[in-house]
Amino acid sequence: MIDKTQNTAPNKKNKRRSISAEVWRRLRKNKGAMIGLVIAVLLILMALTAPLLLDYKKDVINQNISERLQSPSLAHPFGTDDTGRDIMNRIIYGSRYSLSVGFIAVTVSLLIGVPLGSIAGFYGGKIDNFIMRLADVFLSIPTFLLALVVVAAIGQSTFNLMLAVGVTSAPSFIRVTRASVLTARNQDYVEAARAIGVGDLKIIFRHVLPNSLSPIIVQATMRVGSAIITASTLSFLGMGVSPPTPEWGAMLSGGRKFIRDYSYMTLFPGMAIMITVLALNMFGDGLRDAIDPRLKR
Amino acid sequence: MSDENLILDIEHLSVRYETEDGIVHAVNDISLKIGKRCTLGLVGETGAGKTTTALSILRLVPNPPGVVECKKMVVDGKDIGALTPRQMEKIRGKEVSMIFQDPMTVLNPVFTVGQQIAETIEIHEHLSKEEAYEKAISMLELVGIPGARAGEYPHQFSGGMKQRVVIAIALACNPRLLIADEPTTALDVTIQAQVLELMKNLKQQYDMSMVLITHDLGIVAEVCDEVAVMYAGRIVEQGTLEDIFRNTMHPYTEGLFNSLPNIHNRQAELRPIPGMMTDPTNLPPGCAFAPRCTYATEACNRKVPDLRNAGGTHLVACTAYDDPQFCIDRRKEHV
Amino acid sequence: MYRYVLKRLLLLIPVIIGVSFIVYFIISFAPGDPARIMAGAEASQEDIERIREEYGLNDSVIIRYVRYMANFLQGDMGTSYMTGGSVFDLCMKKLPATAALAGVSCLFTLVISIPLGIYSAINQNTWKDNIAMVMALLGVSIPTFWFGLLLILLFALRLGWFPSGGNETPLSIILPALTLGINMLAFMTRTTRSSMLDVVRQDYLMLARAKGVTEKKVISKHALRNALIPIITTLGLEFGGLLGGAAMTESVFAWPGLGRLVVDAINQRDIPLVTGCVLITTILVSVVTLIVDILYAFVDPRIKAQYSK
Repeated sequence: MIDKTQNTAPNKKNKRRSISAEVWRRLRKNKGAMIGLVIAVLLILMALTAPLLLDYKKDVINQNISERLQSPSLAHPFGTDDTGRDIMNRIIYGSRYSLSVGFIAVTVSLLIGVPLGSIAGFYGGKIDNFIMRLADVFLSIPTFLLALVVVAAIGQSTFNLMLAVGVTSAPSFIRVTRASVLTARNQDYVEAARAIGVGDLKIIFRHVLPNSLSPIIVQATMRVGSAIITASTLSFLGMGVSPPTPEWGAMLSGGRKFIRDYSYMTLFPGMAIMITVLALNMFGDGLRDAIDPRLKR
Repeated sequence: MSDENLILDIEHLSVRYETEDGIVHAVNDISLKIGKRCTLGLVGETGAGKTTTALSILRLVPNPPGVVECKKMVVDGKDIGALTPRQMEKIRGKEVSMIFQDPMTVLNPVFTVGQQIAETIEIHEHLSKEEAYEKAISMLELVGIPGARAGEYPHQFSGGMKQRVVIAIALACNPRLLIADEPTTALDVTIQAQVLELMKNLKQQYDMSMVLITHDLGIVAEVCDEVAVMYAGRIVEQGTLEDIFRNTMHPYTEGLFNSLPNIHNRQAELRPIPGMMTDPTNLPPGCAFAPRCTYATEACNRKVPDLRNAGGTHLVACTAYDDPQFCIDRRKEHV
Repeated sequence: MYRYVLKRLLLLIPVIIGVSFIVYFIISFAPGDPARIMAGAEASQEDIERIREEYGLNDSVIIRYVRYMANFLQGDMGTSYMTGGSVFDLCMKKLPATAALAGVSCLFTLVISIPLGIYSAINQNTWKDNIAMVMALLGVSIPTFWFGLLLILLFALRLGWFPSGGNETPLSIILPALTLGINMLAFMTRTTRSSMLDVVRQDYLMLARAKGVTEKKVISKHALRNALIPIITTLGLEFGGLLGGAAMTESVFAWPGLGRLVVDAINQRDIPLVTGCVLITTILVSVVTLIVDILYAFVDPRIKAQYSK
């Protein structure tokens, strides 16, 4: 009996490896998902290499009144803003802020949500009740309002923005993780493992967690997009980053006064946000379909 | 049998499903004639094409991916293939009704059983809403459910009762032909007996013809007058109850009988049919049963055997019978 | 049935308590000294101390919270630093505007997404479906405030069909409602489509067809009733997001509602007003969620039966 366990362990690992290979295979067939992935990767690369291409002091925040409010031209493909700064440079550099806020906020959510959700789902009972009540209370407050309030309370800065957005998305991760862990925990193979004497911790790590990861991964991918939007909305309202940071939402806020005659200031930063979120959503959709083809239509 | 006495006349029906994983040949060139007031048992394992045949009669084969080809399909004198969708809708539930296999999923969860029975009546008979509902209640009583329960929802009934509701819906408008697709398979054995009893009585009362699809030979013996045995989308043996049960000819039919545990000889080993049902996306050029047949010869693999007359009403499709001396073991025991 | 409603209403209370405590607690960290703000710029240190004592600002958070809730139950949510008026009155005055905005957004959703989703599902995988799904994807990915700005640019500034802000004409509500609802509209279209697709493969539709029900009725009566169940649920869940987004939409369109009030209050560090606005918004969301839950029980007889016993 025990020998059989030893034999199934490496087989399970092989099976898991081939599951991700299977997912990748399905993902590759999905054109939309692949386009999304490519665009997202390009954006990430752009964000990472921006400091090499642009000098922050000179290209991004240096005000040059003589060049202000110029429409798009060869010299300034996206035009210049009201203080003469090149918009394209600011958008390229701004990707660092938008993307990092998105990813770090989701990481914060995961760090809070996954452990709490796992505990709630695995142990059930009073702990589950307490954690879920807490999550429910947080979820009753409209997310954006909560983020607004948190930022107002802890002060305005890029880091605080990440924290605020991350904390406010955490409850939904608690929910997803808990549901996922609950399903996995009730599977027959967990009972089988228990029946042959496998310990709790091993069960969680070997059996329950790997099988509950998929919904969490899908949720995380989708949430990066909404985190980016929330962060840029906060910055748009003046609650997020502080000037002269070239965050896309903040740029839209600055361009608002000039919307009538200099509409390009409104067009390009918003387009940047949308393309980023679109790419992430396309990839997220594809990932969800690839992980569970039953959901696919 | 003259044409006026036929309730169902099918000639050369073939149905295939064109899917991503290949073409599934579900029904391959079958022909059936059922007389009025006659009950035909359509027997075969899962995947033999029985349900698809039933759906074709009502033109309910999902399209895509199903493709139906049929030379002739006449129900009570009406040419099914030539009807418009509107005309077809008039026939469904009125001239021809169907009972489905799984009562648990076949009733709409958001409507009461009374409403679901009454709907059929409202569509086909010119009665007011109240009159239709009254009739629905009497149909419920007919199948043994108290009329007071007409206002309840499907989830409040057990499996057996749900199936009775399905029967009530099917019979509400006095169909000439009832197609029952494994009506008792999903039910407990004791409930099975009750539902079968109900169907036998109703058959008498309503004076209707029936196609009973099943894999259970016991049920066939109880209820049917004629039997057609299907394998891999083809009819391999057909005849009266006597023909099939006492004069079994096809090796597959013999295999089906052999698979039944022998209550008189508890010590005997079970004799299942070896191998598995042929892959319907990959049918062999010859007889589909040959790989599993104990009597198979080279000739069997060369071409698909025709359904030939083996005496009176008995038809069988087996190359072995080219040899007039051939006889299967079961026959030998009886002789 | 009434027991179910009552039970849910009672459950609302701990939620309100929880929410109010969390909001109060978080806001208490906000920088800025309320006493100083109330005292004014020229006040002396003694004045500030006096005000602090008077308003009990030296007590711990818990005690201040309890006092706040006790007052709240009497309809007193404090005084706004900005206007000096009752927070409760101020919020109630602005609430209808926000409710109207959210209401019209929901209306747009019902009138556009549900039919579009059904249409998409019926024509699955055709070009009609693909276009609708692409548009839905765009709608879900677009930053709402940018969409609002674009709408203003095109329809207000360039074409002049709608006003670019404020609440003067009946037409004023169109652009903000469209902006507020765009994400939900797109999301509900996708949800409707997948719900219909789920239902369309159910066995009970096969039985309906075998009864002779026309194809149109199979979809509009048999399928739709079942598909609506998850659709209504999702609508209820998304409503909260709508009210949250109101803060931003109202800022873009200068719409005189609760959302803009909150943003102004935060900018002015008007703590009582912020607390009041968020609390009232949350209560509104909870009430709507409750209504949706009750509606859900009516539409799905399986749930109704559960609570009739």
